[in-house]
Amino acid sequence: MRTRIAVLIAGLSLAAAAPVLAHHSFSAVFDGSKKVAMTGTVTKLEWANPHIWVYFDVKEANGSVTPWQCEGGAPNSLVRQGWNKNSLKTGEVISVEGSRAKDGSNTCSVSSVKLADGKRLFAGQAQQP
Amino acid sequence: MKRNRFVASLCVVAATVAVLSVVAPLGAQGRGGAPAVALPPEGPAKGTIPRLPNGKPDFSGTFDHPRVGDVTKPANGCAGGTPGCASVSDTAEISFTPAGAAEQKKEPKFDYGLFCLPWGYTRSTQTPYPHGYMQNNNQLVILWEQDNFFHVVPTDGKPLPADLEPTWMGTSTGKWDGDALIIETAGFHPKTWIDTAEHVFSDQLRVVERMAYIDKDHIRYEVTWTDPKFWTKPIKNTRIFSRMTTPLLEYSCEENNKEIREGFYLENNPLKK
Repeated sequence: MRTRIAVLIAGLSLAAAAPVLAHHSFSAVFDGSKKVAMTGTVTKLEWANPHIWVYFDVKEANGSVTPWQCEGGAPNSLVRQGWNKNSLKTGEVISVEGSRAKDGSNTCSVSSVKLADGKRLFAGQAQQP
Repeated sequence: MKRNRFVASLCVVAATVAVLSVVAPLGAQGRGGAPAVALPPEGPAKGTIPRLPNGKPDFSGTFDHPRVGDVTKPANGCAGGTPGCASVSDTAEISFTPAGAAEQKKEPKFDYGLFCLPWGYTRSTQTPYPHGYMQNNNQLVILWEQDNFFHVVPTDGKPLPADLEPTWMGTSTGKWDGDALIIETAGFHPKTWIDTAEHVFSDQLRVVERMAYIDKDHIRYEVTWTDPKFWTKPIKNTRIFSRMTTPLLEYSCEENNKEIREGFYLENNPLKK
């Protein structure tokens, strides 16, 4: 898999791009103008308050592996939508889009998580009627 | 059937609020105090509502509320996905005193929520998570899913003491006006914000809430913030809360607070000094 880390156009509306965060303001930690998009293999899902965290390895073009960690929603909100700790399993391949942490580490706030078949995770109802 | 009609009418109001919030410039949204869209005025509750042994309305239960990130803007829909919530602000722009304007301009502000400190009294009812009430003849207990915090409101109508110890959630007293419960709260220390938009307040903040049933599943809720030290006019929101059939859930903010534990929160972080 080829890493695609794109710093997209700055100045996009933060309000439009920022996910709903519950225990801190988005801008305190993440830079809405530094968008990231990548594909990787899940190494761990941390299902805990105040936010879930998805850990995954991204294979670079030169064969090396870069570990990433990205923050998602809160378990209580996700549970109400039908998601749970088994919704994403170790070893699954995911495409992640989000905003990078201000400290420049391989940390992001997710705006989208998709499985290889295109199914969106942790967004909307888990089981559509 | 009545509930369906009520929910349908709320959807029209909510849709109008949503459209206005997207397309209207700030100046068109009631600058000067006029509401952008008015929610229905308070009136007698439709149908039978739950009541306490003393005959007063019993608000016990879990309620979904609108996610209000900025008290100067409308919000529609319930944070937890229940139909029927809305919030309208009659204050499109806060009118600051010189002291208030100076304090509001200070940057960066300390993001106390990031440190899992209490969200503050009214902000706790504006979060992405619902809240609940437990009530008897003598008191109303507010249960917030956010941080699993609680607050007790005596409903005996005794006036608040003049000199209150400053606290995160303030000190409250409740009294009845017919079937409406009026809660007055003061004694806040100014370590929180009234919303996620980081609107600050002083130790002179007083909050008055008025809650009354629209029907057994919907509460009409008015909240007015007054702070003569920081604002020249009160701020007021009118909202609708919608009853949920599911319970409140656990929320432990400290459990996995990686931003602090791993230090990639940089802005105004006292741990980095």
